[in-house]
Amino acid sequence: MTATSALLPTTTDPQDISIVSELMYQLKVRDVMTRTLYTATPANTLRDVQHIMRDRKISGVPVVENMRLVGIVSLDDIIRALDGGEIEKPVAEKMTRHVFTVEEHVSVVKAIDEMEKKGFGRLPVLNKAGELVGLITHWDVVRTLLEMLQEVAMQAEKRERTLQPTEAQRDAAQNVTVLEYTVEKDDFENAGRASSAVKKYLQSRSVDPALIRRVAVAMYEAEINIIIHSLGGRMTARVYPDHIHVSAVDTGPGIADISLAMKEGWSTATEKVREMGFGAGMGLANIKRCADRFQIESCLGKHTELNYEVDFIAKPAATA
Amino acid sequence: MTVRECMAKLDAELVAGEDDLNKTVESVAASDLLSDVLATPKHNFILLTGLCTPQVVRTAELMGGVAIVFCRAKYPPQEAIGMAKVHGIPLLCTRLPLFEACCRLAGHGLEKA
Ligand SMILES: Nc1ncnc2c1ncn2[C@@H]1O[C@H](COP(=O)(O)OP(=O)(O)O)[C@@H](O)[C@H]1O
Ligand SMILES: [Mg+2]
Repeated sequence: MTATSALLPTTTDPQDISIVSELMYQLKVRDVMTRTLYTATPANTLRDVQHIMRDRKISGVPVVENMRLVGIVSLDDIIRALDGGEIEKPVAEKMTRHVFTVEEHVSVVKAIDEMEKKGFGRLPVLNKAGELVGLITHWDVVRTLLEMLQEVAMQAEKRERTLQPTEAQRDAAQNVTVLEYTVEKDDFENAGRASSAVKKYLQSRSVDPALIRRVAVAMYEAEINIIIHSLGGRMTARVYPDHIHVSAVDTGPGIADISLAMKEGWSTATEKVREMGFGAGMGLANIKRCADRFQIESCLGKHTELNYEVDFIAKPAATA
Repeated sequence: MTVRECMAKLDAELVAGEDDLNKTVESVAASDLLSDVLATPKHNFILLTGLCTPQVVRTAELMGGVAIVFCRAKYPPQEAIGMAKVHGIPLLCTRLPLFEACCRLAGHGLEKA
């Protein structure tokens, strides 16, 4: 990871460093990969591949059949075929069939890790259906990171210039700041990112840490519920001067019996989810405990909506 | 007790967070269930767990946990290490199982969770 972390600024505001590194972990292979692919089919000859390599100035050509990656031909394979007088043979006979790949939805950090472990400078990228959708190289990562850093720097500059007036305008106009996040089904990798962002925002407003913790814990449980129980949804935090309102809305199976779902220990989570440390059936009860006001409603087979509020005045009853 | 002292008691290896080893630990949270941890009223806790996912770090971050110990020599994934560095949470690895790790920390003025 040295290659990427070396790009992080070391002397700026810690807030900005954390934005950059969070971005880096957020970046997915599909965000950086090259989508323009030059491929061959098993029926092509090695000569065809040699020409692709020469014309496109590339050193590896994926072999594809019905959208599926079935092998790869490297420059080495071509040189060997030339040496052995086998350059007119079909690709199917000489290609490497065991190809290391990476999936498009994994993080870039993980992909770099794989490349380093396997000692390859490039990996073919597959989608969830197993189809070849791109190629990732070290260079793709560096280029995107540089673009991203530039963007972050520009935003930081803009923020600095406009921070005071916006804050004042916002407060005068409506007294509310709205933070919104999409939460996807099964997206464990990003679980808690919305909660973490809201926590950071409340810290910037100097809200009491004990209150922030209640907001964040409740939000994390709600976020996890969308990830593990629904088909996906949205979380919205509305920050008023004296309280925060959080809503978690999803489409999905809904909840048949809400009072049962509220019972500690009752859960429909799968074994896989439990192995990850979730699905103990304590989430909803904990959200209610953290909140000053709590409400949940659900339409079976359609959606679930959860709303809670936390006041920015410490309450003795607060536990979490 | 400091994170550094906990590290010594657990014969643990440091994975990330060298700069934050002098932070004070006031209590112990030990669980393989993140919802359990999310329900604890403890503050400034060190989290001992057999889980080894980025969500462990997220949980500690959101709750203001001081440090994390991965038990039974599990080594955390890169995402977990990155997140821990960003948020200044030391990550430790120990060969001890969860129960024995708890025993080693018991009786040093730490509250149990
Ligand atoms: N957004 C949701 N959509 C569908 N079902 C849900 C949702 N949230 C909670 N549930 C149901 O309520 C149960 C209890 O939720 P919770 O207390 O968070 O425990 P857990 O998530 O650990 O199962 C879940 O197991 C699930 O059956
Ligand atoms: Mg839950």
